[in-house]
Amino acid sequence: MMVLAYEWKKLMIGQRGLACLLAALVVSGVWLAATEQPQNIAMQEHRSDYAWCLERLDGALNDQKEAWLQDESEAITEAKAARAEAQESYYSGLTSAEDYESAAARAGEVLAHERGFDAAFQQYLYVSENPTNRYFLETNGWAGLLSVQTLDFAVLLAVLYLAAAAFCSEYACQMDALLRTTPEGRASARCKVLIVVGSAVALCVVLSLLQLTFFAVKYGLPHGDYPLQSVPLFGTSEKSLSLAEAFVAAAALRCFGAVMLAAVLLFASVIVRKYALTALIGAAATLIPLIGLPEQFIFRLPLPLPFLLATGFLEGGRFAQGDGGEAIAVFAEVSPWEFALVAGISAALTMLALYGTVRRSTDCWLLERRPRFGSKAKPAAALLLAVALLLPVTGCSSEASETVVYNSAAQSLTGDGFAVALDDETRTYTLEREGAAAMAVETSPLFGAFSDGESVTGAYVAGSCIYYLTSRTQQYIDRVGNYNSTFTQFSIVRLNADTLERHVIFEQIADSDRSLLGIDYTVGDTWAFLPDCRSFFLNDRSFFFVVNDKIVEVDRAARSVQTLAIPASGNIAFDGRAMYFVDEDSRVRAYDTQTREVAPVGNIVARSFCLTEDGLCFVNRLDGDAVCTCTKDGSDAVMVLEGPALSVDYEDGELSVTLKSDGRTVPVEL
Amino acid sequence: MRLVWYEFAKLFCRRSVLVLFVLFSVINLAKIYSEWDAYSFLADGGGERSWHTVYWQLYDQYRGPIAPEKVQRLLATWQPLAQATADMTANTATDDANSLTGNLYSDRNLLEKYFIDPMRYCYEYGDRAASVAEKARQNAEAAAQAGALYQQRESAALYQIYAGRTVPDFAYTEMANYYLNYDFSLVLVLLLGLYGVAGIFVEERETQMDRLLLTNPNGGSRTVLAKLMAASGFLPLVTTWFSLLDLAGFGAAFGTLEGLDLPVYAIPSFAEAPIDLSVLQFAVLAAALRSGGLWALGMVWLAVSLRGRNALVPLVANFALTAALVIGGASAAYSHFVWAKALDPYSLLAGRPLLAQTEFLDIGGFPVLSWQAALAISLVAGLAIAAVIYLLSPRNTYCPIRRLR
Amino acid sequence: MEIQFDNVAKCYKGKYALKDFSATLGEGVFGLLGENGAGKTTLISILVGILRADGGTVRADGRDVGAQGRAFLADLGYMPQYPVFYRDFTVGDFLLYMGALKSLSPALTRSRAAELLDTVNLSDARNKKIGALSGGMRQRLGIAQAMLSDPKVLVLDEPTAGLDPGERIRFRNLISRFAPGRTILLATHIVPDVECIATEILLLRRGKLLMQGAPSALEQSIAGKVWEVTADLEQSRRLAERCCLGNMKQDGPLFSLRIVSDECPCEGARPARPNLEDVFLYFCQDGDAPCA
Repeated sequence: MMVLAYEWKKLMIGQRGLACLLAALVVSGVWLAATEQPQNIAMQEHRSDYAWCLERLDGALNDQKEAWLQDESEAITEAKAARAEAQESYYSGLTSAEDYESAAARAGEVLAHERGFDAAFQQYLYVSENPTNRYFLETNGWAGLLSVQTLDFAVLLAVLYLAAAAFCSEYACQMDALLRTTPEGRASARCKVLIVVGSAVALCVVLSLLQLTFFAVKYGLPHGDYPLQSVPLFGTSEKSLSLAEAFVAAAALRCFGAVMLAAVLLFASVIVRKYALTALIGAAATLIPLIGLPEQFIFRLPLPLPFLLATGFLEGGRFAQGDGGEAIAVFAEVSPWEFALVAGISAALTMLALYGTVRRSTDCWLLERRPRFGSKAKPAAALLLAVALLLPVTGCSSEASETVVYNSAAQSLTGDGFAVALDDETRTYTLEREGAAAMAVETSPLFGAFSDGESVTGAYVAGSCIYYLTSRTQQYIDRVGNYNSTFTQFSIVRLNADTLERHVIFEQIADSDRSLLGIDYTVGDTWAFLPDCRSFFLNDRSFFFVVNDKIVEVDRAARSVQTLAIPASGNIAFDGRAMYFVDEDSRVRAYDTQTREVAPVGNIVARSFCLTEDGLCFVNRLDGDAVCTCTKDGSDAVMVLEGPALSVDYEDGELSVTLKSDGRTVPVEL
Repeated sequence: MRLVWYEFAKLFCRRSVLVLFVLFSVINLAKIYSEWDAYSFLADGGGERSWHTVYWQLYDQYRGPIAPEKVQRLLATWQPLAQATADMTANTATDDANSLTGNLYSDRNLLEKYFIDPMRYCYEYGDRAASVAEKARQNAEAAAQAGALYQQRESAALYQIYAGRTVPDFAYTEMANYYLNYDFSLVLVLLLGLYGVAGIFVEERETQMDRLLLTNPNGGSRTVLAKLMAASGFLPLVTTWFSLLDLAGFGAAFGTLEGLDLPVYAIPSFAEAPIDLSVLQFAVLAAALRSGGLWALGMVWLAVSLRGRNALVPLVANFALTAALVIGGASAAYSHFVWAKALDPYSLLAGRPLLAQTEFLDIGGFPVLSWQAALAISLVAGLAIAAVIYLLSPRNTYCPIRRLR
Repeated sequence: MEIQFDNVAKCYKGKYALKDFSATLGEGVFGLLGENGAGKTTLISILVGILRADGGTVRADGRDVGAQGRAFLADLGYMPQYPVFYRDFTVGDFLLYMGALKSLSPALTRSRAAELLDTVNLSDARNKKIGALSGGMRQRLGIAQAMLSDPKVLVLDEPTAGLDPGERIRFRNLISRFAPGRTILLATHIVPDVECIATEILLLRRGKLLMQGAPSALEQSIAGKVWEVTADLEQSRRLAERCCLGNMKQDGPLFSLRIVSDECPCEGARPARPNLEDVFLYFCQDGDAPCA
């Protein structure tokens, strides 16, 4: 024990190993907290609604649950139709307020959990493919916990440091010979091995517990006894493991990986006796296969790397579509016998490396005399070893906060001395400046010149600046070959209409597949809304993306994403501070982007509305669909055109009304 | 010079460095071969009806200037195949005597992948480049009208780059494409460079030679200068060797060096390359940039290891720093934040993030191509770090230049 | 304890570093003399078990050392060449650590450490870090750690290398003090170190034991082969070219030379009494044959 205590003190205090372990823990923890994104953002954003659905669905799919899903789906569709019908009838004066309110209340009850139901229904589609081993549960926690597939560099560096320091420090101060000649010399070597291996295991265990705690607190880790396949990443896996078992297995595999890495490094250190070379061997033995070898090959090699990555052993096969449409295996599941072979050989190699390390640090008089290997035996042993190794083969902020008039339904936007118009046919945005020829907002001659995957998908005007959203799909060729992954990058560019200066103020890759130096990694579905974005606007704090049925707010500084409970099916107006919209009950409401509070705009019930410089203009459902104007707080309502009208639009400073009677669009003078 | 040579021999002609050179070279060649074997459709052997054999037979007919008769001939071969296979009802036999490769679908795929698509790209490139040049000219006029001087200059520069670009010849581009997109050797270069350089100062301290060196007329700062110069020789040597090895490896694996004289923008992923060079010249430039990037990074490594007591701490610290730069650089590789690319030496090391896209940096109102700015920034930063290392180097107290305090 | 080497051999890349080495070491101080590369460190490494011999056996009290294993190591004290130890350890901590490695109880280690530190005059340095010790202090700490377990066999590899004369004398006295009842093997090429304290000398040359015996016996073996000559500069040069030259001392315009030669080197040469340095020179000069 004394030797162990002294060796621990030497390595952990003298060589600062403890500081290194703590640094690795802090870096890994901070990195996890800073970069972790939910795998299923809908499930996370509508957590309470989803939880309501889950109360009825939790567990394996059965006929009863399937029937409930179908019934609920139909009920939602019917409730939406019923509400629209009740609204139409009420504002047309066909039904009483009481009837309308009770109908709206009934529909509201059904639709209360609509968004959560959408997430549950998506899960149902997944579960129904294989109901025997795919269960309903809140998967974000487990998915996050189990799908951490990137190599933890902090762990790698910590193990590298400890293992290289353990013996090399003795060689550096020439204490190795003296230690060997003491009766407890072998115990000293064993203690070093034990401390390094123990530290590696402790680091992995603490990191696993840290991850477990993080995901348990952030998302929750319910139903650890449900099958692993309940998490989509493992959908095709044939392993009969529960989620908790899979976590324990993955954690154990990572521990083993760290132990194996430590063993290999310790052995290397007693052979090469130099810090630098030992550290290089460890880095090369891990990074070269990580970057140089295909994923499925990695998990069939008895190296520390596959165990450090771990979850690949639990995954099922993955397929990609080849040029001819054929399915090409990207990753073939590691079968139990393959795993047994790899694990067996790895364990044997680890034991051999540890034994070799202690043996090379032991006094000759303490070693049993054994017949020496013949000269032919050494190459044969090297060949055997080689066979064993190969066998399983990211300025116009002041302008942005100014009062602006933005209507998402408008086809053209007006700024200081210029206008931006959308050509519906070519889907191009054109900048028209006074005294200058019209030009595309994206003027880069290279934009779309050599690729069809480049387009401008939205524009917003504030003061003298035009902001436009570009989408660029590109083949990513960090890993050469035919199965190049593609990425779609979305950028918001600020164009100063006076100086024509351009600055990219937001940039984000929306896809989940990308490769970094050949290492594939995923970005989750946090940004999956970007391809569906049809318009956007911004202030000095946030970007607001109007997606098909929702509005997503992205904090400009923290890049945090939040879905706002605002229906985005109609026009969304923005005045630089408040966002105006029509809710499910056709009431016009305003969302204050500073206070994040929603308030009704007077008592306006509108079929359609738009924002003008003077206030709001709307088709008043309470007044026979007449066109009215009011101030932004809903007061001073004045009728400007007797109805009935279908919609109002405000473009280029001009108000136009589409009549209900004949569908004509007529200008209205304010 | 003698001192530099001795430092070079002492630091880099060590057995471990030489063994790593050989080992990493073998690993690199194995990786190159595996790229060809795994991804090239022409790696299907030398059989009479293999894609490899059929391709090279057809290639002789279509190589060289893209002439209308060649295009007609190619279309005459391909169109019937495309029509026959469009509804997926063609003969699926794999020993069809009327086909080149034994199967009609296979014939169509071979022609599309290796002849139709590349030739169409080459043929259309001139018009696309002309369109870019024309838009650039219009932009320059619009910018001049708006009084936007920088934009005018940028558009003019863009015009200069794209005006008159054409790809007149058709050639085999697969090898060149794979070669220019290959970056595995970068990892080996980084590991070898880091191992070679990170221990330069530490080793003298470990062997207590630092004190002895200080007492010699050429010791102290002159030795430090010699070490810096030796490292400045070693790092480019590593990149040059692996760049040459990459080229030789790809040439050997694909069995040809065909396509190296094509303009680099003949490779689709380099359509927006800002330079008008052949593939071979581009490879030389990329190797030079990689050398510049590794040299600058090497100076950073040296600065980190300047005060290390043993080799381990600086090595691990440099390893972590390099990993951070690589991850940061790779994340910004396809970003519009050009400054982020220009400031990270990884961009120079990988080359492609700077050389595959025409991007400018506004430096004093003048548009500077991103790769030129990145190279200049790296060289200036490297020189500044080298100067700091030199000034902070230990000196004999009799030395006339005292350490800056 | 009696240490017996029987035909011990060690080969490196086809070249013998030690060949057919046989010797018996009883109680006393045994000086292991030999030129650089003679095989001294190899022999010591084999004895302490750092190197495995390619042939031959090593016995302690008649029993094979390999069979004794731990028991032999428990009786062994070893001080390596140029000890650096741990810079961050204090002297006291270091000895406690070594005590743990030598299977000594903490209490015994403390008392032995106090006693030894007093003996080697390092009591005041007990709380000093090893990195702050002078070369001599470090050497003394080296011998203290070697003596910690009161070993029967003490192996010292170049223990006085780098020490000033005063430290060397102190060191020699220390060894003399530890010698009774122990077998001490002291490898060095500094002849005066062993001249005073060694009971027997083992002379090694090119991996072979040339001779073993008491210093006086060795000196006697070259009796009549040591000469003193007084010569001018030119004559000294000529003598140096053809004779095995020992000490050369300038006395005004003349030089007093000590020559080891089988025959009278020149006219006027006076026979002198041989010392151990002369023995070393006689047997260990460059070339295939001794100064003959």
